[in-house]
Amino acid sequence: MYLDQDEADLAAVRRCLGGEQAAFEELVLRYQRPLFNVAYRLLGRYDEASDATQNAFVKAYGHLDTFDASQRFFSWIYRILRNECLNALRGQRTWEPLSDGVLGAAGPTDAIEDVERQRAVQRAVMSLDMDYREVITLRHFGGMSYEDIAATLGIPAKTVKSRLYTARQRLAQSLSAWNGRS
Amino acid sequence: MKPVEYGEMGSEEQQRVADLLDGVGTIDPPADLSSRIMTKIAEHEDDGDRLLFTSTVGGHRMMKKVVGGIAVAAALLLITMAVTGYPPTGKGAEGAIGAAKRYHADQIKTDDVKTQDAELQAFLQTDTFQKLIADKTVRNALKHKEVRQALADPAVRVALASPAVQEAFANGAVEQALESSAVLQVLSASQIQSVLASQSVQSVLASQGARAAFASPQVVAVLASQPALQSAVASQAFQAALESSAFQAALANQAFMGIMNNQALQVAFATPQFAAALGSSELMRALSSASFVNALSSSAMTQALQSQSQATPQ
Repeated sequence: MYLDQDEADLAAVRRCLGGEQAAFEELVLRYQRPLFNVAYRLLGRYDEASDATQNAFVKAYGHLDTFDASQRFFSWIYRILRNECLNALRGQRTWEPLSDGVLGAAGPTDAIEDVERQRAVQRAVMSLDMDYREVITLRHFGGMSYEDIAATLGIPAKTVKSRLYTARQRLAQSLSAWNGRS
Repeated sequence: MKPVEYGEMGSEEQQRVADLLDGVGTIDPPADLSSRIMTKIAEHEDDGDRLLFTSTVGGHRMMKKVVGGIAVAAALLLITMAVTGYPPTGKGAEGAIGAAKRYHADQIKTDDVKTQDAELQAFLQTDTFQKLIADKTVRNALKHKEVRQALADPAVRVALASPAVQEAFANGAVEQALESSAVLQVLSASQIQSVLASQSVQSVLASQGARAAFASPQVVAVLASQPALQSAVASQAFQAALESSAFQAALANQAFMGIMNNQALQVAFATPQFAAALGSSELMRALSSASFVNALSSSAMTQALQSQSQATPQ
């Protein structure tokens, strides 16, 4: 879904390298949401996800000359973001759950359950090893296809599917209380 | 029942988990995230970290990145070590270059930072340290015992807390700079380390003009090749001159940099007489004048300075 923009991305990169700084803003606006969401699911902290996303874009801009036009911009900047997230994770002591404010305003009962479900999902995702957390995040929170995930992570699509299967099995155990609920 | 294929929604359980994950949805990023990113990028541009596009051939980019502030960024990085003598200034080039190259050693482990110092323990809990530790270059630096020991010094902690040093750490150009043999050669010179450790020079380096001046590859190259010039730079007269905006402008002048490459002039500049003359406001003003710089670059002036420096005992 996000990767349908290859041509537009490349054009923006070229314009940016041509000195048109505003062209980079197009890329920021296009990818800040998926990248932020992926960062959030990898890190589990809203502020750190925001910082990691910002750092990734700034570093991408600074190293735009190293971008290989034969690969996708999203894949490239994702790898930068991943490094940012790994760095942030090393500095983390414990995972803190989402605050109610981050999860949005709640209506009465349904909303409370929704918040609890989101917390449970995030807790379960954070309990996965990074290899599994990454594929789950890219697939379900980044909306990427197996092939796109494979290209982004530099692993075979078969490995992506295998990891997804294992990750979901583990999540099924930790989310058993929520499985089947609407 | 259809056999379950890895990653496909072949089982009910897999499907339920997938639905649950998909049902969580996405979270809105901060409303000001894009503007913060673009502001940060604009700040980097202002600091001289610019991308210059040179040409496009057959759809492939051929561009050159002109990194402003490499020398200054690297200098700021090493200020923290120079302040406390890490690497020891008596060690010479070998120590500093070795230390810089060891940046590519094994990963630091939590247990590596062992200290009985309560103040240092407190520093390790600060936001400053947390920000620094998140940076790859800093983590690489912290792999080295010398750097970790340097952290025990309060002066180093003050330096680390300064925005200029943090900015330098955050700049990817630092790593590039440390791979430059010319920069390493300059930074490893004991004279240069003592200059960097000087409070007045550190304050001067905080100014945009001085940063631009010392970002010049020519300055780095000339300093690397001329030990005599390193001594001149270490002189009090030079450090005082450095605070002059006119001298900073002269250093940033391409024509001036051009004449700095002139060997005869380098020898002349390294003389005590020239160092003393640097203290004069008249010479400062003259150096920032294009006509004076042009006159200096004339062959007649070069010959005159050469003969003068040869006659002057050093």
